[in-house]
Amino acid sequence: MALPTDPLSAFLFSRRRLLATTGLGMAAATVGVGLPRSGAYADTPKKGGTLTMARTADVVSFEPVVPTDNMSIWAKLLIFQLLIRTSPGGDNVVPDLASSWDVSDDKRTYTFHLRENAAFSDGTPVTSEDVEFSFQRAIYDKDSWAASLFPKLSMETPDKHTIVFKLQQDWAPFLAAVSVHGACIVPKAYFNKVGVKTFGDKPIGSGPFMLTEWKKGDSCTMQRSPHFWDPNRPYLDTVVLSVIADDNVRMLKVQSGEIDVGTQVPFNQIDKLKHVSGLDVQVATYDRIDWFQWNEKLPVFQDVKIRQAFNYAVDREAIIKAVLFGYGEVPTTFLPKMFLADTENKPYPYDLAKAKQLMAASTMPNGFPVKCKIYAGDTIFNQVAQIVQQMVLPLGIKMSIEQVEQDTLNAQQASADYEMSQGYMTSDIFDPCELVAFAGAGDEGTFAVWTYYNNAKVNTLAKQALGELDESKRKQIYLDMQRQIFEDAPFLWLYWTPAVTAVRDGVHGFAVLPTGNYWLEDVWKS
Amino acid sequence: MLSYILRRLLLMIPVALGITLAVFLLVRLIPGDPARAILGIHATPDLLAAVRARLGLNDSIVVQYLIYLRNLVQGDFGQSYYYGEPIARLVGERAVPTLLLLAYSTVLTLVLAVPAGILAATRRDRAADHVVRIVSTVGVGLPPYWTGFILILLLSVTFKIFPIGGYGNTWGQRMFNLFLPALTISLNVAPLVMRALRSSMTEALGAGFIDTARAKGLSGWAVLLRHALRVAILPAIGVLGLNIGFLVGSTVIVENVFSVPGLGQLMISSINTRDYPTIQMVTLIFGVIVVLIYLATDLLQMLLDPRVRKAQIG
Amino acid sequence: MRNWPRNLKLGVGLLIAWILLAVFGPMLLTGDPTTMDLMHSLHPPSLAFPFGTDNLGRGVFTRVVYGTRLDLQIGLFCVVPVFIIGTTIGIIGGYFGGFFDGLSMRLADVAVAFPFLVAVIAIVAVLGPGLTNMYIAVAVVNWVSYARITRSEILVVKQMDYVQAANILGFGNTRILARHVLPNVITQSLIYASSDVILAVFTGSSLGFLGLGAQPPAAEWGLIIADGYSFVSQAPWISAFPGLAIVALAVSFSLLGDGLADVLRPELGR
Repeated sequence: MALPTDPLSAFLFSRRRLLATTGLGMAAATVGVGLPRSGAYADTPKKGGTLTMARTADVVSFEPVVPTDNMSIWAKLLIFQLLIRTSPGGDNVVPDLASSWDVSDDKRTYTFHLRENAAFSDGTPVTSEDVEFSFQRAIYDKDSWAASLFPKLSMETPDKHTIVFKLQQDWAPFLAAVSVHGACIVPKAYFNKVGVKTFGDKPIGSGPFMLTEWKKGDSCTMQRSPHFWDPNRPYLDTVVLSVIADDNVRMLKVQSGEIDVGTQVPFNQIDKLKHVSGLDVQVATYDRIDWFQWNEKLPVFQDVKIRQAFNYAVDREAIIKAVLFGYGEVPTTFLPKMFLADTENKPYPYDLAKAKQLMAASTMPNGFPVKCKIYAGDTIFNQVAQIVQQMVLPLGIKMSIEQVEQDTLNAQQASADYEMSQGYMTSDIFDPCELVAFAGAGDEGTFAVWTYYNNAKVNTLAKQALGELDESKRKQIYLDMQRQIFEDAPFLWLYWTPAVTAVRDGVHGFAVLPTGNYWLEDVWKS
Repeated sequence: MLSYILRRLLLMIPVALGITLAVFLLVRLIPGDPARAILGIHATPDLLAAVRARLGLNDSIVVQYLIYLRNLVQGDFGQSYYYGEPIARLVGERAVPTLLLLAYSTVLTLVLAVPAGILAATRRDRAADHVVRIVSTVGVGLPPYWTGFILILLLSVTFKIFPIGGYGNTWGQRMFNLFLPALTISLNVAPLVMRALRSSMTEALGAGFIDTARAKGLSGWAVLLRHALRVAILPAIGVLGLNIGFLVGSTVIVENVFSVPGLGQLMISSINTRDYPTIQMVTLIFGVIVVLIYLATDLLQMLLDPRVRKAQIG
Repeated sequence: MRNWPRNLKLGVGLLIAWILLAVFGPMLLTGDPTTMDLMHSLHPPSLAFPFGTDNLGRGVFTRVVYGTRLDLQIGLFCVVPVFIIGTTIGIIGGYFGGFFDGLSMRLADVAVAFPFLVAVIAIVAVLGPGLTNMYIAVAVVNWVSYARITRSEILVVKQMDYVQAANILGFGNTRILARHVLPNVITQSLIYASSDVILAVFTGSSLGFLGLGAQPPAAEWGLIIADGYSFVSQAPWISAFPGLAIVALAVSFSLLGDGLADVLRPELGR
């Protein structure tokens, strides 16, 4: 498929510097750790300066466990450390607070060794007790959604800098689970002193930056943490995450130099901005997939023929061309294009005849009306919904569009108060187990994103994959499961999209990672 | 003089009460449980109970209104459940850009309207007059969100003189950034003021005291500016005052076009997030701003015109 | 008709042209305003697409022509109900006075305290977006102008000799109102209504622009302008042409209003 960037061969594509693309995902690893590169940018990193980054929305809370919105997640990962974190290549984990770890032969005991000089931004050293406390919250707190990522386990803290996890069952994705953002390490004493609510507003972490000012709805200002474990990093003095929801304004401000990094470049401006001097447009794959979903509590959507007919009737290539200006790919599985995703499969082709045939054989041969809810203010989906509305019309399906504010729509989905709706997901860890539980298995807490799709075979395979320690067998299980889901078509899959960011020249080492976040301790300005 | 101002202020009390009542009833129009509507998806049993208590939902509507008034008087504007902040603080922050934009567009309106009005009046039925009249007829018909679009297209995208939007951190930046938004509004309002000025100026120029001044040997411009304009400006200010509602309404649109973080933008974003207490409060603040400007226009007219002063006091 | 002032002739002519365009324009077009053609997106103006196409390949010309229907409808539905309601309230209040008059005028004081657009937006925010709710919101707020105009006119007319005479002769109130008062007071409202149409179209398209009025994929001028905003530098024609249509419509009605004022109220002068 002709794409502006082929994520497999070039993890990170940019206009003027094609980073050394030696191996799969290695290019980004280079960017990620900020190693000197060849060419004009091979200078040694310079200390100091302020990085202003414009994002589309504000942080909801810095509390580690509860928020599930990406703006909060990506911001909190700047001020907290994880024990280990997802590698820039998106297929493994790398050290963070833990400098190393040992795994027992039976893969039931994981011992993490903490950095001895790690400290929270108020100067208190990070101890294994803080780590244990943080994991207690991530796994057992009533508001934590990450609990299902973990097996039954117990924790031990033999000394201040060691924490041992003893698993009571085989659990293949354990390292990936440990790297989930909900398991950010928080200072136990401070957290207990101020309580969860205050902590969400005035967090303290051991990450490279510390929150110094938060003007809600406007900006978060972070300063370099004086107690970060690495005395040489971060290079930047200050990071400002400012909220500029308007696409045009955000892009014009990055063009004028008022801000250094403009996230979420609108697709229609990518090609134009590539020709603007002083700017670098980074197109990076990240683990995201967009779709329409149906509420299978309604009989009509229990009919697999109708769901498949939708999938055949929609010309995704045309949507990607018209709305995403080519910056997208047709999905071949229900997962984002990530580790263990079934990228070998064939996507649903655009085949109206086949779609009509399926409709004719379905329970609703003459079509039906359906109300489709989309996020208010989402200009991309607004267009996609109108296109899909027209594309399914030949099937007799009369789709009406209703715009609903984002939080409200999420809540309506969760209470099955919809017929058809917009949806998307991004992955927080490199292993697919999180998204399998979220969108594939029907017996988990989210009922396959509240589609109430429930295939016993899929559920069994999902469980099996968690306990399968043999990597190639596990891969095969996930492959079988993905093929089954794809055939069952519980979603109208639309596209995989990249993260597109406009970065000013003079900003070095910035990259969006597969999990969507960014490590700003490696960024420096010249 | 003072007693007149006092009387005007007293007359404002029923209007002020009416405004609060209207805003109070606004949220009661939502079908179903107002507490649930206010909290939306933030509704937990605890919060619902707290909001019900705050609104006094178990009491009669009269008591509820009195509670609402008491909270307002105490400066307790409630809590935005979307921003998680007191609305008083939100509205306070957002009012500054809006008031600045209002003042700015008023000044620009006068800068555009006064010379054009004088020109049209002194060159009545000649080419300049016709041009001014045609331009003003078109000007009234310019929808602000579209004018904003055209100005952005010309002055931001093509010629890159002005920023496409935003507010800025220093006053200098703000004056610069708010120029296009203010111009957008004043292009709409200036023609109305210009027309009023044109007719009042024509009238003034024909009046006896101008001839007297001329006879005294004052030059044409001196007569124009010192005498004719001073009288003629009053109806123009009146027209400006009457259209203040329109002007304020335009700021809502223009703030959204140019991403100015003012009350209008807060209002629209609060609608999108169904943040009813904030919508309520912003609506109330807009009402208060308009009433105060009406009052200010009255007082200004009185100060400028001894005849009006006399008529109203006497 | 020959004695009509130039602006009235022009205004009436343009109004007729708009109505013809709204009624017959869509019939002459082959395209559909909502059908997309993704192969022809963002085409600049050409012979095939006189106003270019938008990002979904819909002809902007077709959409603007269809938009005439919707926006004239907005003008009509915003003005006619409030004209009737407001004038009625004004007549009853002005002619009979008393409690009803006091109440309606106090309500009016409150309604004008809010900027018109703010009040409409606030009500739509509560009722939910869409044109029907917008018409309701406009009616709630805008009757005031007509009531006030009619009332002040009627207070003058009431004192006039012929009305006094009719009263003394014992004619019923209805007859006096219908025969003598109404025709005299209605002119000012008519003049106001013609400029009010502009405000209505502005309001309707502003709400469409803000996402609170007509909903996509409807061909409404404000909505088309909003669609084009993301493409300000790539495809300015999407927003430019519907805007021109609004300006042209506004100018037509403002000529009509000025012309009506000249004819019906010659004493006002120019």
